[in-house]
Amino acid sequence: MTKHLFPQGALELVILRILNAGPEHGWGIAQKIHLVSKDVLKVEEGSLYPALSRMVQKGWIKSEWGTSENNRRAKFYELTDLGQKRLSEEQQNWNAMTAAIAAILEMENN
Amino acid sequence: MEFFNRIKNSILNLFQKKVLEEETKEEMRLHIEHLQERYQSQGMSKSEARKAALRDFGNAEKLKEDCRDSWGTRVISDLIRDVRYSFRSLRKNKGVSGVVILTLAVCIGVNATFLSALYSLVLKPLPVKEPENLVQLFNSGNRSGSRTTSDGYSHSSWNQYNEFKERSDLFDGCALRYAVTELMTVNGSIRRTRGQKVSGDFFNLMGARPLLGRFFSPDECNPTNPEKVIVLTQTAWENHYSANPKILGTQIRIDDFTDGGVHYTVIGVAERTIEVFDAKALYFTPFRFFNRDIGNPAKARYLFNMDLWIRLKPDVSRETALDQIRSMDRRWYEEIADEEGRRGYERYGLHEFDKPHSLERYLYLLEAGSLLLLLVGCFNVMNLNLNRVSQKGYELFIRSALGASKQTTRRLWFVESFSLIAIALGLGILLAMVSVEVLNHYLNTLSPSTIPINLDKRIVAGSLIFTLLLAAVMGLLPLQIFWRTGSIQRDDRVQRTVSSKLSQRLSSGMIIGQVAVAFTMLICAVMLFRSFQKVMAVDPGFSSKQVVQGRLDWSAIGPFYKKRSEASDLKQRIHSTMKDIPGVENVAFIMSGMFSGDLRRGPIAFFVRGEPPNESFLRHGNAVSPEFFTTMNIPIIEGRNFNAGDTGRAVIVDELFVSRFFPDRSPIGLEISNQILPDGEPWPRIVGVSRRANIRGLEERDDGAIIYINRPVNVGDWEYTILLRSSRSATGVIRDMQSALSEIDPRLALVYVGTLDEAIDEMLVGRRSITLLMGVFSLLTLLLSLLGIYAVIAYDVSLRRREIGIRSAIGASKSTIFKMVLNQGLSKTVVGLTVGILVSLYLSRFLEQQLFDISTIDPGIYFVALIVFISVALIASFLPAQRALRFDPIEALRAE
Repeated sequence: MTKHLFPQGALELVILRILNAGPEHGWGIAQKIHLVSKDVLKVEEGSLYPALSRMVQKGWIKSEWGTSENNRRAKFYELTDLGQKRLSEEQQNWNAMTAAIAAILEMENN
Repeated sequence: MEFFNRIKNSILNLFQKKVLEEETKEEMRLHIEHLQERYQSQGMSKSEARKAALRDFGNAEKLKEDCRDSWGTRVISDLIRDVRYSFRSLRKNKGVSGVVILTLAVCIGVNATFLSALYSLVLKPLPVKEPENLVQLFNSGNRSGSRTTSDGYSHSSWNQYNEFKERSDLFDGCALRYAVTELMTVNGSIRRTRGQKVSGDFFNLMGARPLLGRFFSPDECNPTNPEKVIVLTQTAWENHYSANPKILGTQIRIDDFTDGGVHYTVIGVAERTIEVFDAKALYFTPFRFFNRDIGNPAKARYLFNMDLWIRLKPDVSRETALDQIRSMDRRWYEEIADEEGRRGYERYGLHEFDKPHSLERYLYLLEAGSLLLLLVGCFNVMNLNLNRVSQKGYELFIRSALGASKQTTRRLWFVESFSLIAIALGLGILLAMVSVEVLNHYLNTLSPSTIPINLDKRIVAGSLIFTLLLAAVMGLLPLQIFWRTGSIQRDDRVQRTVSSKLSQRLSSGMIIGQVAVAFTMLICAVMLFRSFQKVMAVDPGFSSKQVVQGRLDWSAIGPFYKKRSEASDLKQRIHSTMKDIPGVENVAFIMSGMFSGDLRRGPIAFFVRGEPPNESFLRHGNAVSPEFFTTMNIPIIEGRNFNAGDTGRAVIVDELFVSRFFPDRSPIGLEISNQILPDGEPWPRIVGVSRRANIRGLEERDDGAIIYINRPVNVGDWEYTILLRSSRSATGVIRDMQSALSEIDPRLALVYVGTLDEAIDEMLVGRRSITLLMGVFSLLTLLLSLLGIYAVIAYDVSLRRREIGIRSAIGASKSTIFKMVLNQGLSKTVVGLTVGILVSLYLSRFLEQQLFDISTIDPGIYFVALIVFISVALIASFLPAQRALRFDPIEALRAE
């Protein structure tokens, strides 16, 4: 089975996008990634945490302890205003980049 | 935004590192449990599920480490660890660390002090509007061959001010200022104060603003306006009027020498920056004619000492401006000047801008000295560090073997050097703060009107940068050299780490350098010390013992004794009252102060009746009362003393006068005057020749012959000095003197009171302090080079332990080994001394002005310095040589 790892910076974008829907804990974020990417993008699940920690550090997200659906204590992450702004910027960048790459790939095929 | 978040969070995280650590662990544990539960629900056994969960999660420890990285606390905690480590290591090497810290602290302290002094007294631009265009005009007379700069200059005059203001097209304005001493009534009591008289445009020219009220209007500056106004300085307003904002419009009484008590209306308070011109002055009043000659255009151009400040137009060079001034003065000389005026021009007709501060050359000398000290200090610290790196070589190799990157080692080494230097910097700044206070104390005596020195912030900042640079060089250079060229032998003992050829060569270079510098300093210090001795040995030519002087300020009360008879009556009363003080044997008056340094009259020309005008200049004339020579115990060696009969027409000259102007005939009976007197008027006649008395200071021994004129004190004399010889203690006599005077008239102020010995002493303050300071610097550099030589030789001996052991095992005698080690120290010293002699021979010429009766190539001084230095080198190499003797050959061989 080939393992598609996340390209640099994409993981953060994905996390931002998921948190945009509402606060979520680490495990939940991992599940959503699996669900949405249909397991095409396989994340070494632990690597979520350094990424989350980095984003907290930069002030994009903030965290708070709460109780999860199955009644366990869990740390919930939430987008800050700065994170909101970053999300839209990163999304535009990403779109522009993928579009450019797609265009290049198209050209190669012809 | 993100950047600030990161910094903020890093700092926050530092305090909650434990919590973060726990939370991360907890979060990850939770995640793994979730994974495990899911696998278990898919039917795996508990242990299989656990394994799969851990695999999916990834390397938890590595991930935790990544998290820690992101908290940003690592840099800080690493730094703390490094600092701790370095302090431990510094404590371990207490001796070396102590030496380095002290060396640098002293060097930094001394340099910060003298740089601050140099900056605030010499280099700092005046705190006025556009200081670069502002110049002060001096009428200089250096052609009189005067040695002391203050005599070679005359300030400017009202006459020049007016002409330049009206006629020069190169100036944006001129202003006149001069300081006066007057009696001011402050809160009911009369005090002797300094004030400044300024022309109306002064404040505007300086760009000064009133803190309160306003400055003088043109109308108020009209000398004939009866309305008197005054502007206080901020300091006076705060100190004497408790910063009362209602001061404006109130009256202040000032007793000055022309009109007696006059009430001045306060119209303003000037901001503090303007006090730079005279730190002791309390107020400004408009310029006035205090003497009828001031306004006399033919006569007064060079007669009065006033500061003339000129603002040049922005594109006008100083040379162009000076040329114009010279040509205007030339024109005045040719077309307007009378005879007296022309004589002034001939004396002071050279013009200059901005004469150097009187302490400038001292300060440059001291700063040069402290820079040399710093240089030696740095040499020494570098050297110690080179040795330290070599000593630590083993540790360094172990570190790198265990995987420490060069980066890490470098950082560690830098932190270590930096902590060391930071302590030194702290101590150094502390030292500088103390020494600036001490310096200000001296400054108050040497140059009272100067604003006190501050430890300049920029200099402190500069020291900080210097410290960082030094830490970088000191920390990293030896390391670099070591890495490039050092090697470790197979043997694993610490002593075997071989310092490289390059670092050895560098270290001998530094020894040679510091010996050369320290030798130069020693030469300077010995020369200054010998000069000081020679000055002290000068025979004053009079007996200063038991003589008390007090300068009577006559100026302020002059107006109350306007008639000649009143004045001479007062003088008579003063004289007899002084004579009545118990224990007083003699009383004499003299016009100029003894040693007070306040009277530095320019040269006086003289003419001999019936002979062609003499081109030579005298230095000093002094009016004295007939008892002067008896009171001072100055012998008359030819002719006779003054007697009561020859008031005003008798002159006594001193030996120097005779040997200079009449080497081959007796001057007795000659008639001389400072001007050619009209026919019929009697000329003063020389009646005697006195022994040379250095009443202007011991250093003025060869400088200026003196004419004593027997002249009674006139109404016009503003000040004169009373001399009392008594058998009683000085303090009692002075007390009686003061109370007797205040009984006669409470307004009689006595200034510069004290014994003649004290006055002589005070004259020498400058020379004494510079000699002392250079002596201290020289001792310090000497001590540093002793340490430097010692450190290098001792280290070298410890490296050659085995070699020395083998030598003695195969039969080298103790004395051979001893000599070998001593030689090593001496040979470097000798090379250093050779360089030092050459440098001293070159540099000592800059010291010439400070020397007295000493030649800059005095072989005796060089000899003494050489002996001192060779002894120092011997002492420094003696201890290591002793240690080398104790090496046991058996042990050395066993180690093989």
